[in-house]
Amino acid sequence: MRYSFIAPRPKKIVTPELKLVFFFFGMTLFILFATYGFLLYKSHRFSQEVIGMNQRIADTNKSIVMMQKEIAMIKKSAAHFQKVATSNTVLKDSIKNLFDLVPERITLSKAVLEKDALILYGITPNKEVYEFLLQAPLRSIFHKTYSDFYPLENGWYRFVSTNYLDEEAL
Amino acid sequence: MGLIRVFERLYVKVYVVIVVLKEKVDVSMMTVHGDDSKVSRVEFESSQITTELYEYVHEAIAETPFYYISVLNNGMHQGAIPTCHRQEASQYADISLSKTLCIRGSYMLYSSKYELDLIEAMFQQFGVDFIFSPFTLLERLYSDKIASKAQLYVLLYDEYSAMMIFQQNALLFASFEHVDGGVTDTAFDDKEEEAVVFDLDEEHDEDGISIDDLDALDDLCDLEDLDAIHELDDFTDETPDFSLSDDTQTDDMQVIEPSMEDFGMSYQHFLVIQRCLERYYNSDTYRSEFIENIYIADANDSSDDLKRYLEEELFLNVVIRKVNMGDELLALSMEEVQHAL
Repeated sequence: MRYSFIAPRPKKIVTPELKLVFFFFGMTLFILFATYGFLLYKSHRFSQEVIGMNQRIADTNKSIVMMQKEIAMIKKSAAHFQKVATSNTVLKDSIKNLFDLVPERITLSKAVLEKDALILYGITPNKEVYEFLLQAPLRSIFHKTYSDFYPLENGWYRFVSTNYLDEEAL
Repeated sequence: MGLIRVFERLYVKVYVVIVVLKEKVDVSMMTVHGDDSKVSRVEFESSQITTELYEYVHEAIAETPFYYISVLNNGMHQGAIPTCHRQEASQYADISLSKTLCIRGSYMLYSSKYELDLIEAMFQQFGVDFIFSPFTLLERLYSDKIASKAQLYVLLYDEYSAMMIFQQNALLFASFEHVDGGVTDTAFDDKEEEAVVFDLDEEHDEDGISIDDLDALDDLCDLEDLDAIHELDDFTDETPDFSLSDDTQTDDMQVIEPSMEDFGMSYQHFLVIQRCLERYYNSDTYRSEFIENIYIADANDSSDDLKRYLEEELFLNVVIRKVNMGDELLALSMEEVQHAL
């Protein structure tokens, strides 16, 4: 204040009109940034979900492969079980048939079943009973039959009957 | 502060200068944006502050917070005193109810607080930033000349005249006058009229010395002249200012003998200047130096009569310079803003 009797009033840069403009610009910017932030957050969440889903898909695929392997193993085991069961049934029937072949007067002490052979150990009252009642059915089943007798003290005979099936005939 | 500077460069600056005259209000406006500036002037044909003026100024300042409104102080209770000390100032004028400004540590400008408050109240709708004294303008106009010997500098605008006598940059005398004898029509108040009457009375006392000067009366040529003086004296009842000036003149004044009807503004200004010079020479308060040269800053576009009166009657070397009050005040306003920042 060199020449004036009064000092100039302080000048306010921000007029009420400018305040209003700044307010609306501020609000607009805030809404824009808030929307941008919200979309960014949502996008991030979506990406995370996609990654999780992919992980779950990969895990599921992996477990599917493992389950398929298990299924294959179970199928194989089941087939093996079926085979064993069938084999056992066949064997059971064979043994039943074998014991059905043995007459009441002959007593078996041991029987050995092999793949293509049957060896019977037992006691017979005489050789004729053995030949007519046991050796004859065995000969109808097996291709080769050999019998060996060992006399006991009481007059009976211990016998060893060896019967073979021809592999070529099978 | 730096931010404000940046905003200042971005915003338009508007300087508004208002000069309230007798029959009109001059409004000058300068719009500055960067290096570009535009000046416009409008005159409002009323000495009152009209709605049109408010609207005009409001419209101009609406777009920027950086506007500065300056008003020229036309109050009659103002002046300049050749000292900056308030104690010493009392011998020149009563400044107890005045606001003062010390200029260059050399002299003091004063103005009635009441009148300054009136100016602020008058423009309260948009406010006032600066109130300038016409003396400031006058000194600024002749800042390159005041360092010389004692010379009289006068600023004439409308019916007002501000006078200052400088010698070697030091103020010797100053006076602010109105041709109607101090009665202003600038919507100030009636108090001024009272003050003016008081001033006139004072000057009448001073003039009494001249009236008593028998040598001067002896110089009157004939009875017709005396009759003419009587006529003038009769007229003084209505307009004492002119008769007063007439009485105070020496016999040189009789050469012209202007009638009241012929008194143009130039002659009235001449009378005011003459009266002030007389007061300056006669007063013991002021350090009197002989004045040879008078520099007049004329904003009225006056005729050459004033120069002729001064040269022929007072034997002064007269240099008249045309000035535009609006331009000068705009420049002063810009300078003040620069200084305030």
